[in-house]
Amino acid sequence: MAKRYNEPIQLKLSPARKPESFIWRGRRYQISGVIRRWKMNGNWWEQQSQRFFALITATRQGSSGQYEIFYEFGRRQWYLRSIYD
Amino acid sequence: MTDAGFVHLHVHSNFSFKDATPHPHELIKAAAFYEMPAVALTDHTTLAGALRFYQAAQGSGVRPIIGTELELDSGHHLTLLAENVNGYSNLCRLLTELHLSQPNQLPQANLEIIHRFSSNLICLSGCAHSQLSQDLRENKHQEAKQFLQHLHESFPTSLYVELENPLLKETPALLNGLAKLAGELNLPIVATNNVHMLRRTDHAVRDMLTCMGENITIYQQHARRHPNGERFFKGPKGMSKLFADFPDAIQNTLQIAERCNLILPLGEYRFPYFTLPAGQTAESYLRELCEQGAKQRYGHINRQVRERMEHELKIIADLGFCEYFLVVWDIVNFAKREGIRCAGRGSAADSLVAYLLYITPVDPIAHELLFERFLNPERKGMPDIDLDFDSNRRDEVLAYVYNKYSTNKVAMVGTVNTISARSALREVAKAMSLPKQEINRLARFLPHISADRMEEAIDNLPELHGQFPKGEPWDSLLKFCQAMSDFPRHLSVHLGGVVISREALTDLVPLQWSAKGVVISQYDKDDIEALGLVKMDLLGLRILSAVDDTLRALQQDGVKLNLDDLPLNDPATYALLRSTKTVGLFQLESPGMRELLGKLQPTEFDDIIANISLMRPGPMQANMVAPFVRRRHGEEEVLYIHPSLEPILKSTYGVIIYQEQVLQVASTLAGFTLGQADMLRRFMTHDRSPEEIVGLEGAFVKGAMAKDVPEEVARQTFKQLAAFAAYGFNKAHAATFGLTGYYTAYLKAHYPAYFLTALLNNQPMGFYPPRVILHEARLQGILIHPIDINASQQDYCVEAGGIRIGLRALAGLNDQHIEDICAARMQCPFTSFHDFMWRVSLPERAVQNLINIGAFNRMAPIATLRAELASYYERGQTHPNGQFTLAIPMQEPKQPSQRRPVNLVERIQAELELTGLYISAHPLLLYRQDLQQLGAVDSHLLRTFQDGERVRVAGIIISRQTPPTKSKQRVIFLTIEDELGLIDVSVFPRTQQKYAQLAMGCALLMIDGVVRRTGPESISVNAEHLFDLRRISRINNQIT
Repeated sequence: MAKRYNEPIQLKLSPARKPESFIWRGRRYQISGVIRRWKMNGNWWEQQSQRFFALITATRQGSSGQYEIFYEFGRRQWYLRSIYD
Repeated sequence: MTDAGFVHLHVHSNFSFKDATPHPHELIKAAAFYEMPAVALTDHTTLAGALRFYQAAQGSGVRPIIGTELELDSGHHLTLLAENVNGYSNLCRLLTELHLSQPNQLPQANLEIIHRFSSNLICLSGCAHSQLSQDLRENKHQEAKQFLQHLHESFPTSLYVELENPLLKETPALLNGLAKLAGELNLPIVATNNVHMLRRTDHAVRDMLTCMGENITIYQQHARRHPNGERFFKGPKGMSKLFADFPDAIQNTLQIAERCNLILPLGEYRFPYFTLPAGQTAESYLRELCEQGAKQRYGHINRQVRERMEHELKIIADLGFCEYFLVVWDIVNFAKREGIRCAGRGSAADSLVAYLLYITPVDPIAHELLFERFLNPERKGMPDIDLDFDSNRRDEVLAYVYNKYSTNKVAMVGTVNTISARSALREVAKAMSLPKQEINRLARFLPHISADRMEEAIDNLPELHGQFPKGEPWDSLLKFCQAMSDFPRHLSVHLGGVVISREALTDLVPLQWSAKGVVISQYDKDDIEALGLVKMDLLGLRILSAVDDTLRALQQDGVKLNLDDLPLNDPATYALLRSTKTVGLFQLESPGMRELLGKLQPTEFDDIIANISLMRPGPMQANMVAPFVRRRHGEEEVLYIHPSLEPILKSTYGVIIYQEQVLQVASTLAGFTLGQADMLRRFMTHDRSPEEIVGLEGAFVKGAMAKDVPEEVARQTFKQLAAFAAYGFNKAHAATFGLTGYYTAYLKAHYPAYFLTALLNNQPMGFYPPRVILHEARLQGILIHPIDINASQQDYCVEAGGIRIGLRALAGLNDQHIEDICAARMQCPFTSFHDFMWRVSLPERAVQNLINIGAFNRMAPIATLRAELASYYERGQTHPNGQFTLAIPMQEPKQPSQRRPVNLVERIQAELELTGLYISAHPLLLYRQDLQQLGAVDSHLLRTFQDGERVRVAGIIISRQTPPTKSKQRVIFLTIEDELGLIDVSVFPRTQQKYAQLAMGCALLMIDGVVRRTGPESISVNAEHLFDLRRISRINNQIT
């Protein structure tokens, strides 16, 4: 099961441009791995831009979880889409 | 192997019809940009774009790989690539088999068919829509394995598991599954990107095309719509990154590219095999036929004919075209034998051999037609002979060709229909869910142009001003239309092109069904020619059917005419042409042509040739017409730049009109051979750099000076030639068309009722609709007999010197209805409406139409019959044919009470609605009283007006034209018709600013303007103000 959020996050990249951590609701999550990446186009007729998705594993305070995050090219903003149980 | 580490092997062009955006040549360009050693084209079940793809690759450094993406009977995809020419032939055969065995269906393949044609083909297991991917998605590992094993049997050394990474959520798992499966079966993997676009930014256009193709709106989901824009032409780096976990898949693209080495046999001629009589060669038999023809055509073969014939035969033999001529002769000979009217058109009439073989009807010696214009010994190109046949009997000719040259060696040539401005507008708007009414409004005034010129048209055409709103969604609509300009839309059958091959056609050409149910090549005429195959245009020409019908009807009435025996100097024929009453004449009826005939006043056959040649965009743009006419009438001095040119240009008053004259001038003045002269003409026809022109001029001047022509004269002549070469018209073509035009003029001058009847029976053709032809008959004093239930035949026919309108002209009557009426009438004529109803079973609507058109007028008034009819159908009774359920009473129904008789307005309305004709009277008669009050003159009176006088006229628009003009400005040429004749009207740009919408969209006009007289019979009106006549009439009636 996944819970939807679609809330902005701040993603920090490593010098090698790999995702390192993200901050959501003021809390930092350490990214431990990227499970898969994919891209989806928004509805071009509604001027929606392309989105880049990633399913990642991240830890906070010792507990690990799967998070779906995405980058919206139009807004140049990262979002937390879902958290998987 | 080059540094470029990847080759795209699964690529769609826009020949995947509404599924992909790149033009084939753009794919080659993109591959060259990325320094790829090769690139494949794999359109959906077609090779339609393959030849142009292959040709674009020549000299580019990119090796073209030709393949296709098949759809299996399970709906899944599979990719095939040709290793070599054998593989290519197998692709052609496979595609042909799939298409021809599944008419009216999406062609699907099964593994058995694929197996039969698998040799020298490389198989990639397919994209994300493959059977394999589907099985893996559904965790059917075993089924996936079995599928691969089946394929492996057909492709033991050439099967690759295709990996595609479009960056979808499911992709990583799928790629791992596919790679694992390949490993288990020890099969190689290969990376593709299933390319549908050149750039990522083309995604929306591709998506729009998909919606159009699937007939859905952009708001609807569909499996063929890609969720992202990743299936574009990525570079090697991008692809390597995508497949970082599968480096072999990248490496193997290069391995496959190395294996594919297709060299198509372009540039070799493949003439059909012609069965020769024993002991003959193609050359000797052709000579024999020409000798026979010469004796028949000329009686005695004089030196001039002999020399010309020898000259042509030698060139034909040297170029290896004897068999080609024999095949054309064979087809024409069949038509002659069967009495099918036929005539060669185009530059073939420049050939004496073609004339002697009865392929063309015009004597090239008498008309100074030059063989080198048709077949140039210095430029080996496929000869092009187009043949016109009586269109009613063209199918007999085609059947003969199929039988004689074997069905598997003959097909109709396909043609690629592209997306135009109008089709783009309608389809894009539909996909965008824009209201249909709006789209009709926008499309109404949109001219027939390519979609990329829409914006220009909207900016420049006054009738479009304010039609296209600014902002969304209109801006997007326009953007999409322009982006898909000239994209292939579908294949259809070429008008007359037939390809005849020496070997089985499918060795080189894939075939399919056209929508009309004809087998066509997937290649168009240019592709066919590039493959060295013979393409002939066997065209159906309706005017030949009309001529034939006229002669047969005359013969039935005791007049036997042979067109070949007609004198070409018949005074009545030229008088008709000079009168400009030429509606219905082949090539001589358009408004522009009528005006020119009026100015030129032809008196001999050469004048007709000149007329036809001058009334072309080229001569009109080059301003050849005015000096020609002035000089003809002695209003301007005829000058020749050099005395040696007088014999060449005398017939055209010193003006270069014909392409043949360009050749003669270059030959006479500069000593060029006619072959070289034709090369010069062709060279001048295309845009050339100043350096190239200078080089040519040098050779021309040098040649001329060697013949003692002064340098200044040589240079001036060269300039004239350069200016006119591109605009000159082929005299041979004009002469063949002119001859048919003359025949039609002769028939109209002497037997107008017969000729116009035949025209009406062979519609649609020519410039004007049937109602105008019928009205022309009335204007010629021919009585028009209305539709009559006892007198009308199936078609129009001549009756007592008049024209009886046939039953087929009436809407709502089909062939069976007409057959039933005629069969019942054969027994005895109908005596009353009741008698008719008793003996013929027709739907109520059909009887209603017969009543309303007045078919029973000799029996009872329309109003009475209308009332009676209701009583027949209300009773629900029947007659012997069983239309009703109970027997009809033998007594006639009781006469209903008297009704108001039908007036003229209602009659004309009914006639227009039911037949598209005005039978009782011309509709303008209804407005004549108003028009008199408004001071408008009729077309007869107009002829008494002087040049420059102001005038008001009115009529129904029967033609609109916007031909190219010398000034490049658009002039709208209208022809309006009133009850007494035609009036030609010119609407110049200034007037268009205010009235373009009326000129382009209104049916009935009143026009204020200035009379323009350009010749004794040439009169027109320059429009200044245009009015909607119906509106004006309403207002006038309210006032009075």
